[in-house]
Amino acid sequence: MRIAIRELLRRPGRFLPVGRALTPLVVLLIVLGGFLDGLALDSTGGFRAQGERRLWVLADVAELQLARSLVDPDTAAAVSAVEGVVEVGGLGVVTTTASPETTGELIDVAVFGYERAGARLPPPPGAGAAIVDDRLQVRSDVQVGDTIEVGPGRTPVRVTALADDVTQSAPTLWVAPETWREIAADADPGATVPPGAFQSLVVTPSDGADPDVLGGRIDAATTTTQTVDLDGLIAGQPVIAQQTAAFSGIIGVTFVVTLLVVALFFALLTLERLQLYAVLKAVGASSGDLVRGVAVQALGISIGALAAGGLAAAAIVALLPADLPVRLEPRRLAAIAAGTVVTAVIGALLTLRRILAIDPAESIG
Amino acid sequence: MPALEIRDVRKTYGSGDQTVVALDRVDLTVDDGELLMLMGPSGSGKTTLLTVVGALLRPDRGAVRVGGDVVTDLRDRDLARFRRERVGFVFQNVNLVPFLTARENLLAVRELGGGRADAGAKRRADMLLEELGLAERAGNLPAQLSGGQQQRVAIGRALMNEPALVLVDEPTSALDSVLGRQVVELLRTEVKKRGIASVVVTHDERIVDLGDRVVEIVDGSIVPPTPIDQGPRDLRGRLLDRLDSLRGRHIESS
Amino acid sequence: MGTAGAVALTFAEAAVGAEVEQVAVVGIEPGRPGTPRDVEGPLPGPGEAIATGSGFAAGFEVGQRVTLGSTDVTVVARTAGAAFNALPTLYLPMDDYAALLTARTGSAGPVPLSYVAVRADGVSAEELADRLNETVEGVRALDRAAAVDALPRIETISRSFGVLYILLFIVVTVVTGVFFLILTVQKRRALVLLRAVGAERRDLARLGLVQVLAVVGFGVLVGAGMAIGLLAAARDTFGASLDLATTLRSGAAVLLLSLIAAGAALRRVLVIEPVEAVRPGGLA
Repeated sequence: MRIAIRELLRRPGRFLPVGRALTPLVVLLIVLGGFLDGLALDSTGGFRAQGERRLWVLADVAELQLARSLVDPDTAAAVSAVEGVVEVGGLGVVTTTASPETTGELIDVAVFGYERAGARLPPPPGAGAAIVDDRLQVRSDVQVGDTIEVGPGRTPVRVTALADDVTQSAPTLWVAPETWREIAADADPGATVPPGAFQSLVVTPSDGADPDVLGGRIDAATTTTQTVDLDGLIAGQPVIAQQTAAFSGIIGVTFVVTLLVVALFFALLTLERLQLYAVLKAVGASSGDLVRGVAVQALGISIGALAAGGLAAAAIVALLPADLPVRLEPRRLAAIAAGTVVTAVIGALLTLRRILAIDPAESIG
Repeated sequence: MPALEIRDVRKTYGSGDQTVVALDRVDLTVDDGELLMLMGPSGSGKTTLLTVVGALLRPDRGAVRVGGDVVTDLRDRDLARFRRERVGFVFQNVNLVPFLTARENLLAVRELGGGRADAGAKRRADMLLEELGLAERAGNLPAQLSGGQQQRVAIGRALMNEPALVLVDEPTSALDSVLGRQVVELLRTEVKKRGIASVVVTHDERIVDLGDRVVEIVDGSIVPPTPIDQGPRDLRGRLLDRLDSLRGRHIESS
Repeated sequence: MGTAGAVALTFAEAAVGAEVEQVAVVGIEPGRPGTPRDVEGPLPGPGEAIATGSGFAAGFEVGQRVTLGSTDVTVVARTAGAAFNALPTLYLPMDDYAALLTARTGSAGPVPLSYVAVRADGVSAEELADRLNETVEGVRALDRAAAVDALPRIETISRSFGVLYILLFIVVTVVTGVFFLILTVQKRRALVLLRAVGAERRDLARLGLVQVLAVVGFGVLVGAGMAIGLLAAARDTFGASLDLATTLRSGAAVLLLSLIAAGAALRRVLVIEPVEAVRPGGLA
């Protein structure tokens, strides 16, 4: 192994080609992961704004689609009575358009009516007021105190606060339930929500309550609902699932490409080093020594490519337009780093057969 | 027990009409501390014999014993350990690892097979380099060493793991006559000091007198040995005549 | 100047036997703009529907009876590439659509339209869109291409994939270039010998370029074949298929970039001197 490390450090030129090839692949993987997370996070800001511990109660026939769900006040009362439930708040959403007074342009928005404060949301504002996604500040220079006209009926709402990371595919506005009902009836008369009803209930569980157990109790008490935690709700959104599947598929294919690229490079490197390997075997190196050396070199190269690729990816992401949904999340980065290292080592070890076949007798000139 | 014992070893290449007999029923022994010169023309089988003894090739038949190990009985996975611990090789092409310094080339054989170049190994490497006159060159890469210096590093590498047997393949082929003789003299000093048996394959008649015994191999068979303790002049003349007859031309002995 | 057709869109659960799935439901005026093109079968009458699949699901077959809430429709025709929101989609006559809404909301009323499709007659679609924007209050008229581009997620995703495409082509260029550089270094002795026995620089250059074209061309063909297989086998993952024009453009781009990338290798080939044939080599 020391021999392999010394070769890596003293003959960097031999390994630069594979490092050069691996680095843009790392950049691609990181940016792909950034888009995967960005698209997912941008599509779920509204859900996540309610907090990670909370449970979501929807009509079971809705299959976790807010737009197709309806939960009436009787169901809400039944949920409130379930042991382990501390607090219940209604929540509904309608997608429509809005026009900030700052620009007058028509933009797509999602308007949430809600009853309880959330992780990134203060309590609901009064009638005719809205807490607004700070994306609108970036995009249209919307500030606290500005007015936005919402929906076909141009319902005016006054901005009372800005909230961060609450985008739900479109910038969001957070209003009191009455304001939401007014906008929803105007924007989508075919899907009118009866008074007192919401599309979903957001439940605050008691400390220490098991979410699965509590969810089961709620559904048993109502018999018409499906209760999930935040992860379950997000996973149940077809758009998220399809995006995640498609991007994960692309990332998977990119890892396969990475493996093949490293495998081919190490195959070429092994060919170049046949005589060296024969000599090492002749003086007593086992095949295991050589294979471990190759693995260590692959590890070293992948770490180098991750460092260079990581910096390059960060620079590229910083230069992208702010409205492109790309986010570099630590967990994703760690997974990509681990995947790259594992893939590179496996790719390098595909030369195993060739190394095992090296005849030490070939060291004799 | 002899350091090296070869019994009835046969090695062929190819099959049917294309069969080439590289070694034909070879018997040979080498004692501890003995330096054997193995001579023969190209294609005589001397290098094949070296590779069989060094466990780089398996013979078709026969037995090779080095110290206590019956090499021909070892399983494939034990051969690397054998080559590492029991045999030292000095190659015709030197074959130093080009990106390791002289010292690291010696330490490398101690690091193989899961080993470690501990303080004892480093002291041994430094001692060998000192004895080989390379103490000042310990930190140089092979490309920074002359041909003779590289050959001396190779000798150090062969001695690093205290082998029972040192095998040397054409040590003077890439060196001029003065340098070549110096290297073999140095080898002789080192193996004699340590009581290590050594087999030197060569067709260079200028160094045969440095051996304790000369064995000729022709067409894969050992020719009965000629003792060296007859007068050097007679020996040299007879050897020249013998080589001359093998090469098919006359050389005047001086 | 044109013909108009009303279109309304909603989402519903569709049941065929015990199987239930989410679908998009589109109310149309059959035969008027808004009706899908290239329909295999008759236009739908009362109680009938045109079905289309999405990238992820095949959709309903002709003859299947589909329950939408309290309404049943029979699929009488199919079309392709007319799905909404990546869901299997059913196109119903507007009256059936209205009945579906009424059953859902519990009250009859005017059907809220999603958009009005207009076929331009005697003017271009862009011109008609401009005139509509100037003359009709409270609407935004777009030709088809602009409408697709204006969908917020489409635009975002298209731009995102644009960035990824650029990175992908950089990867292709770098990897191909580095590979051919290594191969050139490995073939050096053979190339030196060829120069020594009389080959000219342009002979070696031509040899190299032909090899790049052959190897990369073969790779493009094999890669396209594998992509077709992969997309077909993993339809529920990718929900896509290969478009011939895009595939040809991508293949041509890969070939061109590979030729450019092989320039570094080519430079090495061009500086080879025949005298190098008499210089020795070794382990180093």
